[in-house]
Amino acid sequence: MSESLHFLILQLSLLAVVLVLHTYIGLHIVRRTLIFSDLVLDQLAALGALVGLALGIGYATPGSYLVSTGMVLIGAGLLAGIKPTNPLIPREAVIGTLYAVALLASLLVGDKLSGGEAYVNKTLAGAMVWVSWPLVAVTVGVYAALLLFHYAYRDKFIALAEGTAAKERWWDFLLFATQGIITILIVPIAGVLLAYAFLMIPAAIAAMFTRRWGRAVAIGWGVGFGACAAGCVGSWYWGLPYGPTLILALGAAFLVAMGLRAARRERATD
Amino acid sequence: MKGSRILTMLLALVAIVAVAAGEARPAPREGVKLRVVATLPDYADLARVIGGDRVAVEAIVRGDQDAHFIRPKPSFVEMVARADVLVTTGLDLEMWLPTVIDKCGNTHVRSGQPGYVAVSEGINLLEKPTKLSRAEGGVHIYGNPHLTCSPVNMKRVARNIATGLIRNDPEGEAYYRANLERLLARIDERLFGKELPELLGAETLCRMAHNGTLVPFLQKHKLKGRPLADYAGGWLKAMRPLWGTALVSYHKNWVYFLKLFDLEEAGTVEPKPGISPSPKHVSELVTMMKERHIRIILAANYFDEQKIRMVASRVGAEPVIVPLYGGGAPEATDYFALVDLWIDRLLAGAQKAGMLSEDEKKPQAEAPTP
Amino acid sequence: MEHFVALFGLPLLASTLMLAVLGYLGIYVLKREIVFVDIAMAQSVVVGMVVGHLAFGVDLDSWAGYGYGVGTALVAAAFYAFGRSKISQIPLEAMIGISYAVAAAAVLFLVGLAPGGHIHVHSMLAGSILWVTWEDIAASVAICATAAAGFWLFRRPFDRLFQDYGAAAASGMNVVAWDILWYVLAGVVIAWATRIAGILLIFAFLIVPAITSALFSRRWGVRLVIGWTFGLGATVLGLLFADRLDFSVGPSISLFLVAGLALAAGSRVWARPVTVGLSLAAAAGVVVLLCMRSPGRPVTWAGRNEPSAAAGAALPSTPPAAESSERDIERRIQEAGSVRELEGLLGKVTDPQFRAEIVCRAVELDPAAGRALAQRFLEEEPPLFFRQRVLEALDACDRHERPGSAPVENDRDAPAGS
Repeated sequence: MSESLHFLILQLSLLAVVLVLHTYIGLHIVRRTLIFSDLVLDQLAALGALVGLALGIGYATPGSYLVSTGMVLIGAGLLAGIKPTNPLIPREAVIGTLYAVALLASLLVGDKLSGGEAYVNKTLAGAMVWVSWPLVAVTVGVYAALLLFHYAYRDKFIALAEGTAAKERWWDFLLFATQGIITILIVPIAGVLLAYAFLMIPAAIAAMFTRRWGRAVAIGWGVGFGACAAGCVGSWYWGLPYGPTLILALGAAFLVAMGLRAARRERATD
Repeated sequence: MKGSRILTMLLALVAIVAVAAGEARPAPREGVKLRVVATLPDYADLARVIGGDRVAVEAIVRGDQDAHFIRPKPSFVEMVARADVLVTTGLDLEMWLPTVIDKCGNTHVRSGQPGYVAVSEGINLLEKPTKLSRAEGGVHIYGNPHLTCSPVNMKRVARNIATGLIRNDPEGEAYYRANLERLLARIDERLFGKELPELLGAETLCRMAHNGTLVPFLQKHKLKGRPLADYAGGWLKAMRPLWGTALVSYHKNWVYFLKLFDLEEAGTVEPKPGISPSPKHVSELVTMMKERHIRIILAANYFDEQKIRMVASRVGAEPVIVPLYGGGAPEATDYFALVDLWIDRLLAGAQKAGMLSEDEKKPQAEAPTP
Repeated sequence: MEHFVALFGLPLLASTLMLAVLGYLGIYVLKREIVFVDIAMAQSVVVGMVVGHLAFGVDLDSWAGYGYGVGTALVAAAFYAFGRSKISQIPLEAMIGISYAVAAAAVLFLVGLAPGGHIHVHSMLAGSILWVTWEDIAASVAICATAAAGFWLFRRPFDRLFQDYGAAAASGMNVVAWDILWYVLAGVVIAWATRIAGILLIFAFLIVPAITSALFSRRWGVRLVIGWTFGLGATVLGLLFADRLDFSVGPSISLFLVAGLALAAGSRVWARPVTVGLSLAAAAGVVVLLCMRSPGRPVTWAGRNEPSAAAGAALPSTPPAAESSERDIERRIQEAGSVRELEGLLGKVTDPQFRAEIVCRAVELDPAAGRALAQRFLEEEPPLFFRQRVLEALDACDRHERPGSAPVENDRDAPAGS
């Protein structure tokens, strides 16, 4: 099999699977306006990888994932737990502070690593161009398991989004934990920015056009995968930087969607 | 409560500033030694050898760091502020240096002043971009600045450092010159062995080696019935099993080293440090490596080991990961040990990749003279 | 003390200025619940600067670069204003978040695509406040004053906009235009501050003092003072930390801002002893920092220097012959038609290899004259191999002249270059 074909099949398979769960979780995030919570978790996962490096643990090894998991769980706990009662302090402010913490910690750790800046760049831009079949297999496996879990308990989670759930803190935590797990898996591959784009953009596009969960996932996945596939082929054909091209493709799709939405303003939403 | 809090914070601030005020004491200068600050550890190493007892040398970059990506820190400012002599490459490698020099207020070591030593002076740079336009050329606009990987370059570096030391400490001239000559002789011997310099002359050897014409010359000509190549010793002889082979480097750090020993750089993995290459580049590289049976990837140890191993496993090549600068690994105690390490690891990698014939497998290097 | 002031005096001054304006902006940003707008705008500023640098050759640190940055900030502002008014199905924060990621990706895309000098993505994040100059300070004052004037002038319309967007729109106010204006003023400040302090520190300056002050007061003026004092204290500690422990300045200051916030928030919630205990521990940490090794000779600050000439002034002076000129010389030797020419060449080259070549060629062309040259060459005591070459050339010449004599043992290959 030629290198190019091999590359395309690998990337497209990964994208196809990853985008389903990301779209679904993303819809939750958009609904509950906890937009930047994923950015926090992404950055915490990256921080975990950098801390692992400082401790001598290789990047994207089980040990590294373990450290990232620890960081992300702490983050998930803080995100779920800190709910300021002060009316002057919106919840987004807490998320913003946590993001600042994750980012400053990453930079401080990067300061002490020998290849410092290159690793910080890597955690941002990702290294998707380097993925191999074993890594894809593991990722797909975990994502599938999570999808099943969320499908089984979808009522509880949807109730959370609608604001009618009992035992909110617990399901909140589970949602963030799911988010955390997919973050830990995807950030070493795709980087913070692409991971965030996977989560937000297809969901945001879908949410602009429908409130029904099934349709939203379908629209989000369809548009998201289409954009990513176009970006993948384009990056291949024109020799463009891979990760950033995917993000820009998704961004373009979002802009188009915004334009369409604004133009169709008069029509009632579903 | 709120008012007292503000007051407390203000008082704390005053207290901190007051304590910091009483902090700084000038440290006494050690004897009358010349304070030399070098950007790269290898320049520092040479400065120590040439300067001997008359200098106190510090290096800014650690041996396992990427000189492109150094974040200038307050401690650099302190170091350069105290310096009598500043040794740097003088090209566009240490782009962070001008900021540090500006901030520290030490006018003696600014570019053009007596305390500033640009070690690249007098070296023919490889890979000069033919057009100075943004569209062409790689990352460095004057030519490849990674000089330290070639002992031939380091001879010129040593000369430039000596010139700088003499300029700033004229009384030590004889001492510096003596150390310099000893150092240059030692480099010649470690690089070419004892016989070749007598046969061809050190300057000729260095020139040809730098231009990459030495190995073909040695292979073509004979003396007393034996090919000249048989008279080679030292590192040149040690690398003989790899003369003429092609390898892939992770980044274009190794150009001068490869040219010296007639190795071909068939490609690079990451042309731009820190930026992932495009998918097309990766595929083309992998295809090319498979077609040409390239079995070695050479990389400095500050790069992303995971990526290196990934590419290596895709094509069945052997990764050779070495420190680029002295001190970047425990075995690389000085420049000579560093080059030894490179060669040992390259040969070991070649052996693992099955590139060496049976008789080439035994260690080749002559015992170095102490 | 001198060392501290010399190294950190200007950064401290810059921080003070920025805290003043950003403190105010921060309170508003919290109120409008668009916490991440600054980081997204800062990122779009970086895009502008990079585009200017790569496409138009503009220096990142110049006013032109700043202009490009403000330009893209305006584009972002228009985007947010448009999004807020036209798209109601998803929150504004979502658009802000997406624009942040896309802008960051655009920077990485451009940097990855275009060759040329390094653009340090990292310094956009961590900032370079340590290297701020008097000119930067002066410009900061001017820009902050302008923006402050703008905010003061239009405070009533802005207030209406923030209190109730819907009502303001319904009452006929051109909400999109006012929104854009607000973003423009904020963007001008943020663009400038980001250039100096980096995305992270600006973000921290914006939200952390504002959040901290909200814990202690509702009043606007009081909050400003609290935030400003708190921010300054954290800045001093952060600079100290960066100096003693050798970290980057931006993240260090941010660290103390956040730690301070945690302490302040905790004091509201935890029991007294816990708060006191933690505060004492923090104070102890600060004392340790202060007692760590101090630097050597104090840095005398000679004031503003001209920036050093670009590091590439040193170009080769008289290097040994490069490969191309090697070939050049060899060609000239081959093409030389007379011994006179070769003698001329001999005067120019010093390398024994070429001198040997010249002599051999001279012997070929004109044995008598060549022999004389060869004699001179041999007297220079050249290295063994080239000495041998010349001797063999002379021998071959002899044999040629006296065909009957016995051939001398031939112990080398055909001469190079023929």
